[in-house]
Amino acid sequence: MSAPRGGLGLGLGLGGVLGALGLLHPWALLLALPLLPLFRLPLAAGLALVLLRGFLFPLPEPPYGKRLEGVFAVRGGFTSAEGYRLYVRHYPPLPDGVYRLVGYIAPPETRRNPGGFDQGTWLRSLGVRGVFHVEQKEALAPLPDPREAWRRRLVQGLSPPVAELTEGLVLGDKEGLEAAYAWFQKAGLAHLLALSGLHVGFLLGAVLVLPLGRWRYLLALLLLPFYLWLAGPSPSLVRASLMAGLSLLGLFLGLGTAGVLQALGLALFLQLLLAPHALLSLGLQLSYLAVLGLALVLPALERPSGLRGYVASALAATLAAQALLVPLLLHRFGFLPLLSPLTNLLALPLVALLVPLGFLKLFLGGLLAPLAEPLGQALLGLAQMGAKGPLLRWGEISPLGFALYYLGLLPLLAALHRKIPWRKALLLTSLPILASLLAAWPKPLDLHLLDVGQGDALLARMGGAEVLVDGGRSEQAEKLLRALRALGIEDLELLVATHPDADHAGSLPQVVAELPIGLALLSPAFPQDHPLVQALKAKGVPTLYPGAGSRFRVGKGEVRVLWPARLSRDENRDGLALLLDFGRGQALLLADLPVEVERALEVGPVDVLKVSHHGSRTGTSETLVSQAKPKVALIGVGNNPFGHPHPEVVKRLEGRGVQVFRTDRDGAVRVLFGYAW
Amino acid sequence: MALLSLWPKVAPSPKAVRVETYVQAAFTPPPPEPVSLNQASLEALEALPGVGPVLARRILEGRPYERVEDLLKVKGIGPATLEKLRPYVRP
Repeated sequence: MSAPRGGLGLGLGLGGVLGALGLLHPWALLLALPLLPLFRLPLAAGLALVLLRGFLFPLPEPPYGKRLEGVFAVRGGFTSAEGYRLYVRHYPPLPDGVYRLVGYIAPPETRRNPGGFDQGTWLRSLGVRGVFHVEQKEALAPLPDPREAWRRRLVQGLSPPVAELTEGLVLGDKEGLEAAYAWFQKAGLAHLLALSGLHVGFLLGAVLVLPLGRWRYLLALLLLPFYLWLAGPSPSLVRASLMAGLSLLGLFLGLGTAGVLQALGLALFLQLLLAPHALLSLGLQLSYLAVLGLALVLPALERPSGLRGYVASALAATLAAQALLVPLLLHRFGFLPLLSPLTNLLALPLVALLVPLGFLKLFLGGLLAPLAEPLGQALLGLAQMGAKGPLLRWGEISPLGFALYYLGLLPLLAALHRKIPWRKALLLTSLPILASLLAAWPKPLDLHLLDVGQGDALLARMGGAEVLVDGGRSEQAEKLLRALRALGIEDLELLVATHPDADHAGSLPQVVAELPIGLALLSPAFPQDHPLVQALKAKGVPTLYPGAGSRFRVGKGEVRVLWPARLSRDENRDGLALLLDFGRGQALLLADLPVEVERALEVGPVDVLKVSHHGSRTGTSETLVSQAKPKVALIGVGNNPFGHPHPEVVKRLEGRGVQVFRTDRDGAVRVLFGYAW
Repeated sequence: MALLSLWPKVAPSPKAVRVETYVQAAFTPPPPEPVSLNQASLEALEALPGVGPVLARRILEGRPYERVEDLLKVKGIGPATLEKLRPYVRP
């Protein structure tokens, strides 16, 4: 058998990824077939070992629904019960300690909305599959953290914002940062607050300058577990420690360092062998892809000398690290800071001083505070300034989109390494770009009922133009905006507020502040001092108070206003009834309108009915259901004391063969009518 | 690959509308452990649905109970309230 062409470490790492992926989606193992001839034995071994690890020690599913009662030690929001690690759900979150708890085990929440938080995937990446819903708690004793003394010395003598920043930079603890963390994200500097090779490099660099001969490698090697213990084993820190450890071991034994790619592959293999489910961790994905980008791009570039060389290589490093991350960052966060090469260029010298200072401060305490304080202030100021820079916004990306992006990148990388000429590379890259443009051409015609708890929020995409009807309570605004961003909504052609109730219009002022809006339609029941009216006025959005008979062409469809035909001074009764005509289907949206109004509407058959008043008995009469003959009924409802939806209403709909969907059980609901060309 | 992704967008679908939900399997929390009428604290009794501070005190004063039905002798608890409380209590 000939030597593997791709190298041992890389093959093991790729095999590990395929094995871990195969444990989640068995069909992914097919991907191994084209790669096997390239990497041969290492790939096969990596795949087999990780698969074996997954099958021999699978992540067991805890007994969902089982009641728990007893004394539990809670640390970092997790506890162990009956041999399972469980996430503790309690509001407010329980601080570390020993508690007497009563509750039950439930499965983690899956995503309830586009762009929503997927608790299941997050917990699984940590090796947790159950959530302990706490109903009663009694604190018994605090649980002391042995790392507390180190933390205290680290922040001694620093102002609160700089103290939080230093905890983030040195220990990766982002908890207290709050607004500052958003600045770092929008300035493209958030990676500084996730411990990685940068931080490990500074720690080891400080040790390796000591005149200890070969033994300094061993000393540096021993520091790694100490740092892991102090900062906690986040995937990126484990990655950096493994890679550094492998290189240090090689140096200590006189074997030389491993290549970055080989060390990266080996570290990935080890990490996945330890915990195959860690593949789901966003931190792990970002960390490995960033280093892979650096390892693929940087060696191919020539580096000029002097200050110009430093600037050029720092810019190139930021771009190279981001090259493979772009789709993942856009998919998960919805934006990409365009100034990040510049902010990183300015931030890196500050970090290069702050991180070693922080390490020394772990031992020396307040002595170094006068040095660290101005540096921290400068970094915070830089992040705040950088956060105002332009952002590239994007929605969620389909697996196909990811594949096309990397296919498009591949020829460029090959050209960079002089494997193919640039002209050929550009031609090859344009093919995936054309394919993605073609795939994005047909625009969906669909209606989303978003899950905003008790309340309504409906988004209609009518072939290139979008309509938002209501938005739920104001505390749901963040969730709503995230869902709109995830669906790729950059502006709204039409914003409709059916009536002024808080569970319909509460979050709309925030939507107005965040997104450009073409035209707003408000129910005549809105008073002039309503926050939504004020927000629209402040932004200069044209606003209409339409009555029955108004029609608006939107995209490839039409929005018809069916009510109010006359005013009654009752907020619910003067609400807007809408008929959304998508061309291939119609949806009737009935706000909170009562039965008398339903009778006056005289609607024809429709495909979708947004049931009036969250399924209350005040609406959805037998007559309406028999007239509208909907195939699908949508109810926007959450935990509520009113008994919505009323069982009679649900029975009435189901009795006529209508499929009923409700956001409290189904999460967000999407009704797809087809595509517009 | 692009053509593959276009296929569902051009293929005629048999149904006029297609519905997708974000949450597939709903989980119903288990019923709470029944509260002992004879041993529970005042707070635990107050936490029962439809039981306020006054009724909780009367239940406490009406001890002991041999069966859940004995609750009927407590002033303010009729057959309807008893049926509502039944899943949550034990003697």
